[in-house]
Amino acid sequence: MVKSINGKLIILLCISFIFTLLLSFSFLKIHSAQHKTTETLRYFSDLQENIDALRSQLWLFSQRQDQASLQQVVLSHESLSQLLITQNIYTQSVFNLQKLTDDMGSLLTQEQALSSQSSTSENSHVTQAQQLLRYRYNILIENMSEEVAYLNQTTLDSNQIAITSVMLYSSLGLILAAIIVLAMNFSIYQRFKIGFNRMKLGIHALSKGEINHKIHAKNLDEEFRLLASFFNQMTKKLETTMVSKQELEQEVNRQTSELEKQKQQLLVLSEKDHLTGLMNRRALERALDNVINDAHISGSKVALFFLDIDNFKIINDSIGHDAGDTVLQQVAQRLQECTRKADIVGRLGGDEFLVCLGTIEDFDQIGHKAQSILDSVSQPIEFNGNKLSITTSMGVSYFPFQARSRDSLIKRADQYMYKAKQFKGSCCYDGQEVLAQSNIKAHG
Amino acid sequence: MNSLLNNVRKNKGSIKLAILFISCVTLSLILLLSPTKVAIQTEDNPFKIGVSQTPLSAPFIIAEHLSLFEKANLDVELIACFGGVECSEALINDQVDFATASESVVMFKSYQTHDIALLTSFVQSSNDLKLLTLNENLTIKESVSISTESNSNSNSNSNNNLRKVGIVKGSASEYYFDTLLVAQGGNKRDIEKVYLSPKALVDALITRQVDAISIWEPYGYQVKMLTNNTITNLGIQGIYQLSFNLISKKSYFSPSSSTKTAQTAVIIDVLEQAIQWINQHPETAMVIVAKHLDVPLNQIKWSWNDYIFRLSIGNSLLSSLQTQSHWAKQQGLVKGKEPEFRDVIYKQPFEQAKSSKEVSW
Repeated sequence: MVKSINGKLIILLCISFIFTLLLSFSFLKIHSAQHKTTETLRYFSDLQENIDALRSQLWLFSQRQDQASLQQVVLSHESLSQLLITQNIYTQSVFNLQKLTDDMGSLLTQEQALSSQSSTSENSHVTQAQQLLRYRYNILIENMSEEVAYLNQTTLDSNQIAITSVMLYSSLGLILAAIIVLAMNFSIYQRFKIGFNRMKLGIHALSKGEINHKIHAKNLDEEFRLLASFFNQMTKKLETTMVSKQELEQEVNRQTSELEKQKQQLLVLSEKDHLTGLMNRRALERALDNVINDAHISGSKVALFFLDIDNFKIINDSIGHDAGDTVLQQVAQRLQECTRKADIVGRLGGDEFLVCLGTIEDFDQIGHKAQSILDSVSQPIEFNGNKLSITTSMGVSYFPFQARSRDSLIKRADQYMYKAKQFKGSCCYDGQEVLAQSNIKAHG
Repeated sequence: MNSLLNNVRKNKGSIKLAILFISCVTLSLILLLSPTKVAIQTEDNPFKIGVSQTPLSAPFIIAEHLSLFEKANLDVELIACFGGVECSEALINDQVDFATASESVVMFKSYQTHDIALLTSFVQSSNDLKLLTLNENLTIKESVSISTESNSNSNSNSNNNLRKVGIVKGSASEYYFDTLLVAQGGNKRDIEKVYLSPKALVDALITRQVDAISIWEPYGYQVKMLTNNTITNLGIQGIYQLSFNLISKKSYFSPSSSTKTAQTAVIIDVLEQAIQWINQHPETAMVIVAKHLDVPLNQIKWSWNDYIFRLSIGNSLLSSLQTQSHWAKQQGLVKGKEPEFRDVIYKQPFEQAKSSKEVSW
């Protein structure tokens, strides 16, 4: 069977064409058979008319017994003979009629002979002969009529047979064609349904997101095979595209998170002093601003220590930068240890540190605090097995009494720190009095 | 998965539908095209038909050759007999159920028994009987003082007068000759009838023991074969018509009339078919008949064109029987009361065959 709906449709078209031809041919055949029969029957009807005319003339002759009516009979007979000869196509069928007409002709000749001798012969014998002839005329006329009736019957029968056979064959042909058309239609319907269902399932699956769906093209008609192969190509391409997109997304996410991490690190780096881990100058300034703002709003007080390591340059220059770094790290660690979490500790730069004791109600404990910071920081620092003794100078400024802004607060504390440097050893000064002084003597 | 199953189920449903549809179509086709013939004959005994071995029996010979009886569901046995007389004897003696015979035979047999039924005539010929002579100038008429053109040239008139004619006694041969004489309208002169058997007639003519012979075919053909002289037919064409008929016994139809009549109607219908075939294929029919009768094809051809094969049971048959009967009585060939020939002709099977043919369309 043709494995393509298009092919099947073409076959269907061809069969329908043959179907139409067959139908036309049958009607043409029936028409021609009918036409032929009509012509034949018309001819036979003419013959019958002539025979009737002859019969009528014979009857007239039997009544009158004269030469004139005999002449009419002969004329009538001749016209019948002529009619039988003229139509060549019927020679075969009217052969018997021809014979009967010839018989009649022979009898008429005898009749004429009799009429010529009637004068000489005995009348009774002639009459007897004439009676015999008349008897024969009647029989011949009856035979002729029977023959024409038989011819009519035969013609009608053969016409019937011709039409029946045409109808039988054409109906067989038509039924066959109809069955084939039916089978083709059914096959197309079935094949189309199967193909359409597979396509429908495929597209439905695709619409649900099954991008790796494949349509089985096996046993499908050519058209659907083509569609299925296009569909499969499409889903294949779609699948590869989707895979690369997912990979790209993952990569972007990975890089974004890395960037975020780096941003966090950078943020940390930008606020811490890389050597000591304390707040750097920028972070310190922002934190101080916040504290001063809070104090401003709440009406509370702030104390700021400015701390500087005495003779740090000498340590750096004589022992080395590593020793200087160690000193800075140790001081930073000790400052963190002797302050609370809420307190702000930072390195302002070089050997200068700032400590801000949050918002406080009064300054009564400041001296105490100053003393503990000095004690903690002024402890000797171990470096490469040697103990380095250091002293620190510290200035304290108060908000809001001595300064009302961050910069002036730092500047005031810085000024007091320089005042404290004028005292021997570690010392803390607040502009009015020495708040704390360390006993430990410096080496230098 | 579910939809796939559904699809399979649907497909199965449509296949079932298709099978149902196709079987319906096939069944209706078979019903439409199946033959509607009903068996007619169920009896064990075949119909025996005594068929005279002459070309006139061609319809039976052809029907047997084409197996038309079998096709019509009839068990028919054709029994060969020589001449209508022998065939009719066989019928009367119950050796056969049907027989073929000329109307002369039917006329003669009707005087012997009232149990003759003429069913149909199936062939007629107006040229089967001939008055043959080897003398071209011979005339049937008595030469009188007024000479006709035909004998004016002859030296002696007496030589051209028919004196002795060979005839088969009490047969169509004699009837034909007597009819011819009547048709001439002259006196019954001193023509001597020499009664001989058909075969002897041919010899008598050849040896010129008689001037002419009144004889039927195929003896005319034999004369033609035996002499080189010109043969002249002195007869008048159309003055006599021979018919060959299917006959049976009236008593045959009396016990269960309708069945026998129906069966006979079928036989007549088969004859009709055979006649149609003969008229359509005359050449082939001649060959078949010649082969069947084991005679030369030329012999068949010699008289074939004189035959008009047609089923008929008209008044001409009745009239012919009556006329011949009158003649036979006049000649003293038959004795007793003339039978009623209307009763001899049994039209029912013929009419039934005709009407069933009309109905079948």
